Amino acid sequence: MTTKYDVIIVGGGHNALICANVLAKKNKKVLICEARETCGGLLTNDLTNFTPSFSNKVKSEIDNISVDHSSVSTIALSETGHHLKLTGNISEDKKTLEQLAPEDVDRYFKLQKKLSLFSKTLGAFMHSSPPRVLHKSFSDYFKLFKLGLNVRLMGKNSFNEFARMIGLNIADELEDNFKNTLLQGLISHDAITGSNLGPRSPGSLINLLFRMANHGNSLFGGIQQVKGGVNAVIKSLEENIIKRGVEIKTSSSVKRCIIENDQVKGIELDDGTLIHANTVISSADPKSTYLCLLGAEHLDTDFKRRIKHYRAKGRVSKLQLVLSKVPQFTNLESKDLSQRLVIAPSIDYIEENFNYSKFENLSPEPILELSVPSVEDESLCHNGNHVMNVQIQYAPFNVKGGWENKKAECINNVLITLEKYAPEIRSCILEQEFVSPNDIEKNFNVSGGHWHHGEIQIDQLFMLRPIPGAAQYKTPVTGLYMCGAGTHPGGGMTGIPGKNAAHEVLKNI
Amino acid sequence: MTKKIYDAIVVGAGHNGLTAASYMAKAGLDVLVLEKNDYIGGAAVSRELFPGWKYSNCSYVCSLLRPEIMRDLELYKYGLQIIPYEGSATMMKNGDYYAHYHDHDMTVKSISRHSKHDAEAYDRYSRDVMRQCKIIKPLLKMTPPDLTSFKPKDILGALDFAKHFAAKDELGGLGEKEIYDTIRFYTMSIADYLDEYFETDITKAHLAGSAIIGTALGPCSPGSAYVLLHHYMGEVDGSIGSWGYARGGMGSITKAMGECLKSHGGIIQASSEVTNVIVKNGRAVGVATLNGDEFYAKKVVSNLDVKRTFLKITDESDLRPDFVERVKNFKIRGSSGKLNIALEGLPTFPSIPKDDPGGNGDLHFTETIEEMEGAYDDWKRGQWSKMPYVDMCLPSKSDPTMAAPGKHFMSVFIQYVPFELANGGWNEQRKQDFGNHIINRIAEYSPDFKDLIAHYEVRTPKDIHDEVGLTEGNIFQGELTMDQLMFNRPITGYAQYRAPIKDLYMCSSSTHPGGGVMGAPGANAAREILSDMNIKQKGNHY
Repeated sequence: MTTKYDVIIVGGGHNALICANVLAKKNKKVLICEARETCGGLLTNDLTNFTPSFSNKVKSEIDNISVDHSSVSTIALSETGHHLKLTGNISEDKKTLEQLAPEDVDRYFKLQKKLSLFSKTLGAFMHSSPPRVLHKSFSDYFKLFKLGLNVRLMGKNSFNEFARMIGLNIADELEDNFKNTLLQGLISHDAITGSNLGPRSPGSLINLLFRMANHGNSLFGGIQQVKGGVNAVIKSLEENIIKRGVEIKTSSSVKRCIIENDQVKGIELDDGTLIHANTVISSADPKSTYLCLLGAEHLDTDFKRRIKHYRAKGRVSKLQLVLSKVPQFTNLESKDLSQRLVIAPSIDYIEENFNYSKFENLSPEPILELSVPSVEDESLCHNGNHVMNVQIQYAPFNVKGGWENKKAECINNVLITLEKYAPEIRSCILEQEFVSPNDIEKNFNVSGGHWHHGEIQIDQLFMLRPIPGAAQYKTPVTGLYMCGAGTHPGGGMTGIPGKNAAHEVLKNI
Repeated sequence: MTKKIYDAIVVGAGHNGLTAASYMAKAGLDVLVLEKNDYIGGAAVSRELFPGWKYSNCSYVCSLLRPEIMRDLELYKYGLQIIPYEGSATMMKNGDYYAHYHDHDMTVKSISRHSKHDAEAYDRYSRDVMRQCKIIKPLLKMTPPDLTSFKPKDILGALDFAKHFAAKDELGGLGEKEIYDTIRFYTMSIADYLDEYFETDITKAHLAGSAIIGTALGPCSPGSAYVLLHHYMGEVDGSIGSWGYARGGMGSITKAMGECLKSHGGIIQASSEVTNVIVKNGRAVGVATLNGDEFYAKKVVSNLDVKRTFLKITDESDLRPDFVERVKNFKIRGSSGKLNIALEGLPTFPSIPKDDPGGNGDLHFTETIEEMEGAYDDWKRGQWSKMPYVDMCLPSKSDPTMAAPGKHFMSVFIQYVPFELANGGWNEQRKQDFGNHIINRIAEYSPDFKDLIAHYEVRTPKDIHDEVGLTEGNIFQGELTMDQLMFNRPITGYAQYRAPIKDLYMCSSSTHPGGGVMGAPGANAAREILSDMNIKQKGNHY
């Protein structure tokens, strides 16, 4: 079979699509093989309500994405009805905080400024491949030096704060600065969302900084809602790359990578079809890539052990409710329901939830992030009915008793919690669908069902992600690369891994 | 009448204060040490708190005391003798036990009784942890670099510090993989780290204990792997990672230091609580004590923790507000309790065979990481752990000076105990309840234990705070987390033993390399002070 393609990308998630766009712009012939019927991966209306906007650096490398989007505010719900709404707009937020948390106003903006400076600095690290330590390459040494210099140029005091904050936990920082427990809860929530850390866990602050870096260096700004949902973003990405001649094969699950003489020769689909290319990029998570796509027999023992211990157990579950009408939330108007609502009233509430999940137990009072996007966007209705999407944090992958047995209890816990804020919610429910991390693993081919393709913790970030020494988008096998969230800079719907991986590939083909 | 001006006054006669004072006196300085209690030693003390029994009622075992300091201060000459102990054991509910020994091969054999896989993995684990110990050893006696300074001296210092992290691989070359492993070790939780080697709960639980002692972290908290290192990096008789009993209890360490200090002309004045540092024109010139006395010196060195140093004995108006705020936010949460028990005889622990050396070292009964983490979760809620982790030992088995023949002193160290008990705080009744809770737990593993108790003392973090002067009862004088270690300890930018006030210094465990009975903070501080005075130290190994 002749080599028709320069590059085959395994998986059609957003990083894959962006990677393909960057390659196609350089006239590479690209084929994408996606196992599911549609592209998008975890970035689908079924799982996600909101996205950050792609950064300018990413946008400049791909074709224009034509979607209709608007910014979304975050509302931390309070049982007493004194909800806290933050938008990322300084004057609006100032007014809100002066009303609800007057003692914390100045400190809030001071903290935001400080964190923003740090996220900006971290953000600068995101757009290039991490250096390898001691790799004897001048460009790596230079990169390390430049990194250090950028940090130092923040100024002595800022540098000292930065050094202090890298390993810090968000709870201490918030308790040192704020009195309002709802505000503390909300910020902690954003620090731990999608992770296996609690607010008191060292490293939770870094998580928050990453999130901020992806949202324009703002605490609650930069979150957007797209007309048609995130599916519209995927659709636009797809249309653009098809125009450039990229081929997309859906319902085409890749069985394995073909390796000859330690070199990639192509892929084999589940149905036996062989497709040749000298470069294969996997947008699948690291464990799937190395253990399934590549196969343990191509890895040395130490590498195999490290990839087996790469931590990627998902902890987010999803409940979708189809509603007969827009539910009444205490002290909220209908239009507020399309915003990003968070139920995480305090640090202790979150930490208790974390305690339950550490050993695979369900929490009776879960942490929820929810929205009824159909209020703003009719196209998101389900057969004319409104849809509420609820994300449940810390719902463990290996829940004690198994998800088959625990599903009903989990849903009930969610509804009991929701009832505190929307007393009549149960009477509005027409249909419900629950997705556990196991379901996500099975349906989306992501190990552990982890939406960042692996824990975002310091020892699994930057030049350690996914495996130290193989953190520069290249794998130990010539011609095989990775471009998904399991590579630097991790998850968060940024498309940066895809873009960076494309650059790495372009260096070699 | 002219006031006497000492060369240096050290506030607090804990082991770091005595170490700093001794090094300075040895270099020829005229040194005065002021101590608030009527006894010296701080938390390295052993006193006859019940007739016939000596209690090491705070610290209880020795490992981290730097051998170079022991040599320089000739502590052996003044009676210090450390008896290495032979093993450690976790007693199991099913009547079995799990033990480690001083001898590596004996340990491997012992583990293989429980799991062949873990016994094999232990070789790899030991090798990797020992490598980390070797990397960190030289860093203990270095002053952390000031990373913000562009002065050549500081840049070289930073490079020197960094160089030590460039670990050597087996062939002696610089290893890329080893550097990554080091970074991972410093940022991981001990639970995740142990998962990479071991399969069985009991192995992991036994090893994880060292990662939580004295901390406000659980075994699942990132950064707890470093704390394990902190407990392993000591040595006894050249054997890295081993622990021992100080003959006569921990007080013999500080007693020997006191003797050394006096032999070099230093003076110790007990029952003299320093109430404030006297500052004139932005310089520390001396101290005032509770009874109104004033003492003057060229240098004032505080061995108190950073909070007591800057919030208690220094006037806030002499410090910048942002510095004060940082000190206020310094994390020093106590999480440990202690029971010190006088026993009429040796209690039987049926799960450990009679002559097994594992019974002569530290004893535990936590069998899973989950139980250990649950103990931490209780503490977060402001309660003592329902299923506490204990570190128990009977020093009198190896050291006859602690009690009369046949009688024994038992030290029980407990994680986790809150400084402020939820719903109203500590009172006598609750202390009793806590004490009984621990005694009952121990009695589950020893049928004759309760009957042998002649006397016991219960110490909560509050007691440690009140008596010893360790704020909030944190035994390390500050938590050992990344944001408070090395160049971040105690305050980023002030990690070089010098306070923001001229001629005021810090030599306590709140400074690098942190707590534990090490002496390194004191020795490092002395070096910086002497350097500032342009005095060269001679004849030291440190």
